[in-house]
Amino acid sequence: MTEKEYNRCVDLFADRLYRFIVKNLKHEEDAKDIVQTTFEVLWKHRGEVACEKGRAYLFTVGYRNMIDHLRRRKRLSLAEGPVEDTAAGDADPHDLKAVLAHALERLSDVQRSLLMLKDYEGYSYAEIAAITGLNASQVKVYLHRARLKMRAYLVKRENVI
Amino acid sequence: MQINEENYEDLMLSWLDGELEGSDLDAMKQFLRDHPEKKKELETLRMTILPQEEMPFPGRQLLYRERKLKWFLPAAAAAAAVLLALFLLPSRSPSVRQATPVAARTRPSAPGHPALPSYATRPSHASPGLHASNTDVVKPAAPDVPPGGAGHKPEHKAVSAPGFAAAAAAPPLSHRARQRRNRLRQISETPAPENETRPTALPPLRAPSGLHVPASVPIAVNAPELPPARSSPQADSHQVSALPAGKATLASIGEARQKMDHTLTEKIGEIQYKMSHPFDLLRGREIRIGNVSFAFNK
Repeated sequence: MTEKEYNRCVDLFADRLYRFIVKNLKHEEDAKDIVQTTFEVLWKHRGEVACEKGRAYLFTVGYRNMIDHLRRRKRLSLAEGPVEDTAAGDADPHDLKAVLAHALERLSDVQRSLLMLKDYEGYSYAEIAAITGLNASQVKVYLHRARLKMRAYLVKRENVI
Repeated sequence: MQINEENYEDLMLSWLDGELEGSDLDAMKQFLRDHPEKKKELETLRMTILPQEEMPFPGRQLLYRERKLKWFLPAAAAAAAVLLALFLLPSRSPSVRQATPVAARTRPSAPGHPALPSYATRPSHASPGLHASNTDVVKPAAPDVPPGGAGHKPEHKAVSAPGFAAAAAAPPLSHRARQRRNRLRQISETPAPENETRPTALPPLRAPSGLHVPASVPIAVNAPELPPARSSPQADSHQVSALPAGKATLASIGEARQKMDHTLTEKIGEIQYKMSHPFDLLRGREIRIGNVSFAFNK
């Protein structure tokens, strides 16, 4: 990867990586640090990373940095623990975006990450498996469970649907 | 694949994830046609797909590498040029000049150059004796020399002349240096007893008792082509009549050694100056090569 290609990666993927990290961490400064660290790693290893692999490399390194960060803060439950099925609280029931954000917060960290990698980035199960270190079957199962939980939250009578 | 009530939800979720293809996708579409009540369930699941939203990264400029180099390269080049210039330019600082040996700073009164008074013309503050050669010995930071001054050499000669910043900054003798000078002077003025053997006193020139030294010891510095540069009668004579006739004393040997060192130091300084100013030798002279003559201005 040349310097120009690296800068092209910044143009294309910095915002997307930041969105992925900040929506998981819910902390802007920590997310900035992780994004910056991730691009520093890419710059350091640019000689070993092909240009077309830049995006996957960024998300892989970014995801692992984020998991490490969450572990340090003891906020990560690697197992799919039971998620409290409560109402949206302050969310406006007519604002689908806010209700979805609330539903997303109720997922586990792994489920949330998988859902964003699928919906925001459009990665396949295999690609998500490569990024997260899971296998494709686990990704599929975790994703389906996450959507069912999201739907269960949305169809509650006190929520939108 | 056969789709039924048991597995339709899993296949529906895979369809939403874009992972259903080929015959499985066709079977799923057929299942929905056969079970239209399941379409609402599909639409509900479709609502769990996160909508796209823009979230620009605020520190994007920090990530670019190209722009960083745009200002870094000229700055690094300028810094390198400054450092190179500092190393190449000769230092003119007083501290460096002070550290230069006296011989290298000695300039003869060559034509075209103002005559710089040398330390040879400086009025002596020292009494006759070991330091009769108009030089003060200053060793402010040196460790104590054992009484007798064995192997003692002047390491720094303070020069009181305009143009030498070191001379103006020469500190006065410290109490310890004065004590040391007085001890040396006392030793040098004391005639050596007949049977004295002092192995520590000036070993190279130590005169055993009873040694008869010739009246004049010529110093082998013969440079007749070099004009005399010193106004001091001691410096003008390239031959030092150092040792008196008769028996050698420690005082006479020390004095002779001082004079020899002094003369040699001056000569070395003159030679170094001539080598660094080769055209000074040609001033006021005429060189004839065949029918062509070259006259040099004074």
